[in-house]
Amino acid sequence: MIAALALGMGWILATCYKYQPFNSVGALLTFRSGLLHVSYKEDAVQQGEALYKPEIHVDGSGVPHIYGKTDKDVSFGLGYMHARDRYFQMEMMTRTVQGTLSEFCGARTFSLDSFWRPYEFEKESKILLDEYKSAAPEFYSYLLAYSEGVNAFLNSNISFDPLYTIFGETPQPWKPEYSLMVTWYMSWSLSYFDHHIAQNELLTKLPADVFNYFYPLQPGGLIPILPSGKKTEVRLSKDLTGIPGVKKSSDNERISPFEFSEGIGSNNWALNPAKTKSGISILANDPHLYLTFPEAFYEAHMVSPGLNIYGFSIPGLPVIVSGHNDLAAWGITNGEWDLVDRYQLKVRNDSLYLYHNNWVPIEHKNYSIKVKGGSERLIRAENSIQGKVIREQDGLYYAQHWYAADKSYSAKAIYDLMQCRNWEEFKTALKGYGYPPQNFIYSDVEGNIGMVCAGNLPDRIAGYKGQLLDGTLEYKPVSTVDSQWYNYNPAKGYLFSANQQPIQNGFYFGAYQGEDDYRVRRINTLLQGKSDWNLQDIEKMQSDNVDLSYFMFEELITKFQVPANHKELVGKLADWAGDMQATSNQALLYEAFHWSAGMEAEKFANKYLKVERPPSLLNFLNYLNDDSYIVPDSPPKQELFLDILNKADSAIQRVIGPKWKTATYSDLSAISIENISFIPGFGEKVQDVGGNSNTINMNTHFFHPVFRAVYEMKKGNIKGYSIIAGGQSGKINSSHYTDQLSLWKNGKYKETQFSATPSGLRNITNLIIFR
Amino acid sequence: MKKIINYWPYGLALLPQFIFADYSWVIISVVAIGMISTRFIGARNVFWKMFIIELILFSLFFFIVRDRLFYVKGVLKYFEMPEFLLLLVPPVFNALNTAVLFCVGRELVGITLGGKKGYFRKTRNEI
Repeated sequence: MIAALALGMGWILATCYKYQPFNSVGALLTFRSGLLHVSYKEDAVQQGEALYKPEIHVDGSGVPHIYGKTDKDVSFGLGYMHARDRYFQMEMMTRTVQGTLSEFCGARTFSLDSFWRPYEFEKESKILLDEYKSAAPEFYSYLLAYSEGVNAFLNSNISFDPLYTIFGETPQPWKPEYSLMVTWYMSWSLSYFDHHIAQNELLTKLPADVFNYFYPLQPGGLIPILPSGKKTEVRLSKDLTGIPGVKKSSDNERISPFEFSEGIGSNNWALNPAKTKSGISILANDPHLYLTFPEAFYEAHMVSPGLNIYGFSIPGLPVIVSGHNDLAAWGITNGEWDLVDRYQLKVRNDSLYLYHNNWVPIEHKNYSIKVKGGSERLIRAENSIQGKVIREQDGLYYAQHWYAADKSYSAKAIYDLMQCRNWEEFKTALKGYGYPPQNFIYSDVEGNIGMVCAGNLPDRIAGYKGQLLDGTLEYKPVSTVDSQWYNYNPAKGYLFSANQQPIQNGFYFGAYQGEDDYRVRRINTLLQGKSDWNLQDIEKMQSDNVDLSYFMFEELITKFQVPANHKELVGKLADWAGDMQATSNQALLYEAFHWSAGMEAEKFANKYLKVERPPSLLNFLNYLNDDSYIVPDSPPKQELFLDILNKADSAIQRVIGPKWKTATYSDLSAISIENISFIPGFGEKVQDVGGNSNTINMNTHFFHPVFRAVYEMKKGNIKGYSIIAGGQSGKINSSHYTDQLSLWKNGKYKETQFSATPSGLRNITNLIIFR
Repeated sequence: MKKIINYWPYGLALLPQFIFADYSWVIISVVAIGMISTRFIGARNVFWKMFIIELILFSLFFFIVRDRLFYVKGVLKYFEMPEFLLLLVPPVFNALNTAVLFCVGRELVGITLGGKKGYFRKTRNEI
């Protein structure tokens, strides 16, 4: 009897045990507390009761068309739909910025919370919301209505995301200030780059001519976003060169489990009527981000007497960041501006730093972080006058100032932008835009096109090149530049951006020299070379897989002697056009050369330039092809070229093996898209994807186009086509979880519906009304 | 009719998981039902009777709502496990779990009042 009871108790313990951060097996497999209770079916018509009365028509792709009598009605409706389809994602985002993710996810997100908590963004967001209450009451009430909508869904008892059941949690209520946290979250994703230690090494170790050759800040031949006047070469101030180059430690870049180490690859462009077949301007946008299910954006259509907008919102924030109203369209790419300064500190006894000839105590504050399934942990955040104190593994101390941690009015700026009727209103709205800096493309029904590179650029000292700053000198807070960079109706008839340097002038925007600009050149070449673009051509262009770096490589093949043992391999690339299609054998082989050239550039930097950061592939291939210059004590270029061939050959043999003559790029280019919870099995492996890190349709390990959209801006009849990577819903049990994935993979689109009245809509599968 | 009455605790033990959203209450309820059942049903083959009854009932129920777990197929595929586990595991687990909890209740009563002869009721058809 006792043995039976002991067995039974053992069973209870095993089934009740929580394998953190997940719920217990017993809870998950039992009906009411478990996954079987979470229904995925929704009634065709749903009714609710609320203060606001939007009418929401959800189409066959899961896109809500929200109609209301006031702006607040539609804001409420968008909140309701965001919560219905993406609340888990919204809560993850909010908890990230609050620094409370470990309460939900357990110890695996502790380092992320340790990064975020000391910024105290929850408190800051409340202050910002209060500011809006008096300074922008209309926007304030718009945010409040959105929050009501989110909570209306959460309180509706309609089945929610099974991920909550899996984690054994319930959704936390939404607060209006949470919407303002999106700005910081996106700024972190898009602007928290700190390459200053590596940059400082380049600046201090390399002679000026070598630096300018391999790492030029203002390179000739660059195609910036905006036309530049006379090229101004910035010079490094003498008093800032005294800090020696230091070796970068491994964890100083980003304290995060979601490494963005591969660069980003968003594109947008606009063509004026002279460049299109129909004589109507066209705008295209395809942001590339770290892709998960669900992806970062949510498609929606909002109609009220004051608004008629279609496009892509970020769940948590009731604005359309890329889309169009009935007069103008806009799209975004990341500005890639350098918003981080790093100061080298002199520290004594781990507690005092030398500042202005005095030893000043390092300020510190303790934070308590709750960890699910564990005890509370204390962290100690240290600050100097310049910013957050970081101690690297090599024992050196730095202070880091992240400008985007400051208050920003970006949400309000995009709210104003959504309502713009013309270029002037568009430009004016973006004057209030702060972080993260974005390149906003513009097009309207009158045939005008424009580009605004918007954001707060730190007004740093003259001659700044991204080097380390001296923390012992007097700190002068850096304000932001009070000017706006834009271009409007250029004679060439088109404008585009692809994360490149916005403009060549005296300002330091960032250290762009490490990035290849093949994508920039490809877009420019294509847009320049044709004057009868139509929507289908633009759609094809967004899926363009041509890697221009191949043509530089091809020159090297002609220039140098290819040894007999590599001739067959190299010969396979003859007559190839650089198209990185999934079905191509040459694409597979070239990717091996591309990879090995990158490795060789890194080796060259480490061994012969004696620096850690490699030159860009473009600059390295240019060097190999240049007969006029050789780095002293470096091997002949033929030898470097042979190394590339050898490495590529052995990589092909190792990875592909004897099938290399028939294998295709799809063997290498398949991508795995994870669910946002990173629980194995809820993602998808996508085969037959083309492109690489140099193509318009960028394909890297993590970065992919999260949506593609094109709009033809005909007055009174705007045509739009769009596709998102995955689906509208973040719920793993929804039919809209990955329903657009196949179209996305194949470069296909769905036609958008931009009807001012519900009667003009087609294929509506779900109607939600409020009494 | 009397036979049916003798089986009511088996049916009752199935209900808590349809009533309580908190798993702790499911455990407490089924254990309590098991304890109470000692007054009404005998000790013989209770575990297996319970397991088989629950397996039949829950399999029928699961068959109706099985679509709700379609997405779990991805997890099974990821771990290279056969898909039929999706049909097998929930009913078997629930039957086993209910039977164990039910019997734990009965054993608890048996231990605390174990010395008292005749505590477990003998059913009419029991020898």
